[in-house]
Formats: sequence, structure tokens, C-alpha cells
Amino acid sequence: MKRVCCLGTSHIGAVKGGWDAIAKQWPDVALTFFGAPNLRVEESLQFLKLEGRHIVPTDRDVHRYFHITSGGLTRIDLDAYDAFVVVGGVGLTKPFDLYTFYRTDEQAHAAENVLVSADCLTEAFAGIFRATYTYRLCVGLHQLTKRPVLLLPDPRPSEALLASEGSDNLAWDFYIKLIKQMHANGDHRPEASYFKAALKAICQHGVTVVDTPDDLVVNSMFTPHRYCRDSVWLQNETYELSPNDDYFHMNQDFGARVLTDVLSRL
Amino acid sequence: MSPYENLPKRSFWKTGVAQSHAMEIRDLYIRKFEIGAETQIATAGSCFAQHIKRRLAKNGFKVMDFEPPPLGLGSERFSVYGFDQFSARYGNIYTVRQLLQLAQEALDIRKPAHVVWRKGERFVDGLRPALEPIGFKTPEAVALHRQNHLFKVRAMLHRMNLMIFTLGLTEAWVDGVDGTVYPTAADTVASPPPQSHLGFKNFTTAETIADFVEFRDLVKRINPTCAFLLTVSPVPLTATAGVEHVLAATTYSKSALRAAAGELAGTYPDVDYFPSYEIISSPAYKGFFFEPNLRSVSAAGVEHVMQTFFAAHPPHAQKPEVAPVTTTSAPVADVACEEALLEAFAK
Repeated sequence: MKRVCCLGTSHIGAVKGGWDAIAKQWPDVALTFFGAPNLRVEESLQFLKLEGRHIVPTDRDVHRYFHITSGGLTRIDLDAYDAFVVVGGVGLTKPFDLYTFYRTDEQAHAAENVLVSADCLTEAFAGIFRATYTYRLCVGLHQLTKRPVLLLPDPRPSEALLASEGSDNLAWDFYIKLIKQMHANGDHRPEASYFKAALKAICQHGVTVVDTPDDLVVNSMFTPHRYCRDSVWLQNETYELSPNDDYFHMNQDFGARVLTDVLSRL
Repeated sequence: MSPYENLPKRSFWKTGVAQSHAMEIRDLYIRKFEIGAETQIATAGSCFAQHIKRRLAKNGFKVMDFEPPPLGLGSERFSVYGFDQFSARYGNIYTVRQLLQLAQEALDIRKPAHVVWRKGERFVDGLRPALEPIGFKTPEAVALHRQNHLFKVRAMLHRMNLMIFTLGLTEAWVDGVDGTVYPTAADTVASPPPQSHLGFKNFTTAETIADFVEFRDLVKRINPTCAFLLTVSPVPLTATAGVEHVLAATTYSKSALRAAAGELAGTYPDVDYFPSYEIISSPAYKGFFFEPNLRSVSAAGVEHVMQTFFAAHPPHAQKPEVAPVTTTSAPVADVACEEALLEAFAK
């Protein structure tokens, strides 16, 4: 029996849904989930500390979420698992913030933008990823256990985002508008290639990034909307359907596909 | 009564220098004007000038940066992409003619004919050849980056209240067709187009002064209240392309620049001179601040230069340091200097 610890952010909802759908096909694998959504501006995965050979939450909300998602556990026993899968926390949105100011010569740009090379921007993207709590957690897990650590980045947004007028969720609204502008400028293709190259660049320190399979990516940087319909996220202390204007979380079909990809690598 | 009577101690070599410990020489620099907390400072010059921007910013001065590094790029990679060296990514500007031509280009007065140089299969901006580690894929990309950069330089020229410029060299490489001065010779970092016919030129004091006067006039036309603070880089030449010994060539170059800076500061009320060159190079300091190669300036040397500067221009606020400033004489290796690459050609 291969014991896999799967921990992550709200995106863990799709993976859990996917696991429920495919678990029978993997009788020799046991998955234990530890999820905590980003309740505040900060990433929830920062509220963890090492206590002996256990990772324990330092925050009451994360503690409660771990208890709910794992079926009663609140501590991650580092020696109890053969592999670790970390879901979410590394994605398009943070590096895309740079698009408001930085452009490459492959993109539309105006005088007020700072023009940098594709190599430079890719390095910056990778640096942003390396600075996330998710990535640092992955590196730490490998250092402490020497076991495989696989990082599943946030899904690319649904292609339906392009027809959206926005969202009441201010963060989503910002990225919907930013990505629509990027797409209107034709800049999504180069931007997506920098993103992909940066994910490849952070495959180091024992961390394997399992990027979304190519057949789940359309128009360079989007997910087919059928994988976003009835999307599931970890929120309100349960796995629940995410709002209709959520183009960033995916459904259990998506989770099943990416999880199959992950498990086949273990 | 002798005009030397009642002069302060600083006016006499004996009391100003010989009887003082080198680290305790007083009043070496008396400022001509104040640099206020709101003064928008632009910096440019040779490699030595890169220290000035960082130290000023760390000490609460408003140093402009029109092309800051993107979030996520590691600070150890800034110089590889030309970030955080000066107020825009123009790289090292060794001669005043180069500074003048940059301003002229930014203000649409001139257009250099042969900006795109080759670096293997890639292309670089010959006027800032160390901007990208491996260069750009196409000549068009070089042109796009230069166009965007010039917009930033134009904004800088309009907005700066003070430009701190470090004069570095008199030796330069000049395009035989249009007179454009490049920071490197052909085939050191990259190769210019053959039709550019780059030739060697060693600027005179008079030419340096004339170039700066023209630069100052140009700036004053669009930015009448701008002031200038000149320094001379104490770093000797890595190599000379002239016939003289490199020591004699260095003496000529630094003397010409020092004389030009002195004359400019003596002529214009809005031009000041700060003696960083003297602090590092004068016999009074007995070579304390040079590394064993007698060329590189130690961290302690840079520190002492800036302490002297801050004694006259007190810091406005100390910004928290990311890393402690070393007080040992570790080499200051965190500046990018194409000129130092010439050492590779020494047999």
C-alpha cells in the first residue's frame, strides 16, 4: 500500500472529488487529505510549523480544516507517508500581477511599461514561485523526508472567463479583467509560455512540478470550461460547489485527470 | 598680511593631511548645495557610480529608478539584467560624450546608426552591451527595448532635480560614420556591424568640458532647476588602447577628468564636485582602499567615500538593510563593469 499525503489550498476540492471518483482504480494507494483554503490574504500554508517529526498548524482555522479534511487528524506525521502531493499556491495570478507594469518585446507594450526580455520575466516568475509558502513547504518536505514531493499548480482559468463581465469577488474581478486585457492584446500566448517555463525551472530541490496535461489546456492558457462547470472548492469548512463567477477552481473531472497523472508518477 | 594667514587647517598640507590620520582628514568636502529629502536624484557614470545609487537609497535619499527590477527576480541577478545600477538601465556611461549622446538620443536630437551589435547568434544593444546575459533573439527586439529605454531616460531628464555623474574614462570607441561613442571596443563583449568602423579616441580635458557644458545646456532647456554633482572614478584603467604604459594612461585619464570636473564646478553654481577620487587615490590614503590588484576598490573604501559624502549630506532616514554592510576589506564585486573584461586580453 502506497500512502500519499495530499495537502493544499482550496484547489484541493477538485482533487478530493477526483480521488473519490477514481479511488477504486488505485487499490494500492491510500490518500490522506490536509486542506486549508486561503482564508485571509495570506496563504494558509504559512500557518504550519515543524514539531519533532510532525507538521502542525499554528492557526486555529487551519487546525480545524485539517481535522475536517483528514477525517480527524490535525498533525502530519512525516514518517507516515511514502509521498507528498501539494496542491495550489503556485499559479498564474501572482506572476500575472507583473503584466500591469512589465512587458516583453513579444507583447504589446506602451512607453509607460518597463520592457524586459522573456528570459528575465521567466526568471522573475520562477522567483515568485520559489517565494511562495507552497514551494517552500515542498522543499522542506523533501529535505525532511527524502520522499517524492509533487507540486500541482493552480489550474489555468476557465476559457469562459473571456466572456465574463467580472465578479463581485474583488480578487477574481481584478484577474478576470487583467486576463481579458492580456488576451485582447494577444499577450496570453507568450505569458503562458513564460509561466510554463518558470514551472519547469522550479523543478529542483527534490520538488517535481506536475503541470496540467497539455490536453487540458486550450488557447494557450485556459482550461476547457467543461472542467470548471460544477467546480468544487474547499471553503466554509467543507467541499462545496464554488460560485458561478469562479473561473479559477475546477471540478472533480479535472481533479481526476490531474491526480491520475500524479499517481502514475509515484 | 599674507593671504595664507588665518586660513583654516584644511588649507595646509601639514595640518590638513600630514598631521592627520588618513581616516580622520576633516572637511575634505564642503557641499555647494543641499540635497533635500525630496530631491529627485538621478545617477549615472562608470562602474564605481553603481555604489552611489544603492548607498544613497539606503540612506533615505530619493534616488529615481525608471526601470526597476520585476518582483521575483533575485537581487543576485539584478546586475545580469542591468537593474539597480543607475536610474535607468543605460549601463555604465564611461565618458561625458556618451552621456551627452544618450541625452540627445532620448530627446530625439540624434539617432545612432549602428546600435545593434552581434553576440554569437544573438543581438545586443551596442550602447549597453551587458544588458542581457545572452542577448536578444532579433535586431528588432534590440530596437524595441532601446525605444522603451529612451522614453524612461527622457522622463528622467525631465524630472530629476539632481544628477550625480561619475566620470570614468577618457578613452572611448567611436563610430567612424556618425561619431557615436560606445562603452566597449569591438569584439570584447559583442561585435558591431563592419560598416561602423569603430576607432579609438582619447578625449581631452577641453572636449570633456565642452561635452558636459552641452549636456548641461540640454538638460537646463527642459529642466531649468536641475543641479549636477560630479565625481571622478578612482578606479584605474584595466587596459589602455593608446601607446602609453597603462599607468601613464591612467594618470592622463584621471587628471583630465579631474581637471574637467574642477573647472566645471568652479564655473557653474549648480555644479558641485565630490572628491571620491581623492579619497581613494591620494597618497594621503597610502593605497589603503585598493585591493591587492591595486585597481579594485575595497568595500571599506566605498564605505569611507560614502561616509564622507554623508557627513556633508546627512542621511534623511536609514532604511533597514537587507544584508549587513561589511566593514572588512572584502572586494566590492557586486558591480557590473564591462571595462574589467579587458583584463581577459592581458597575456
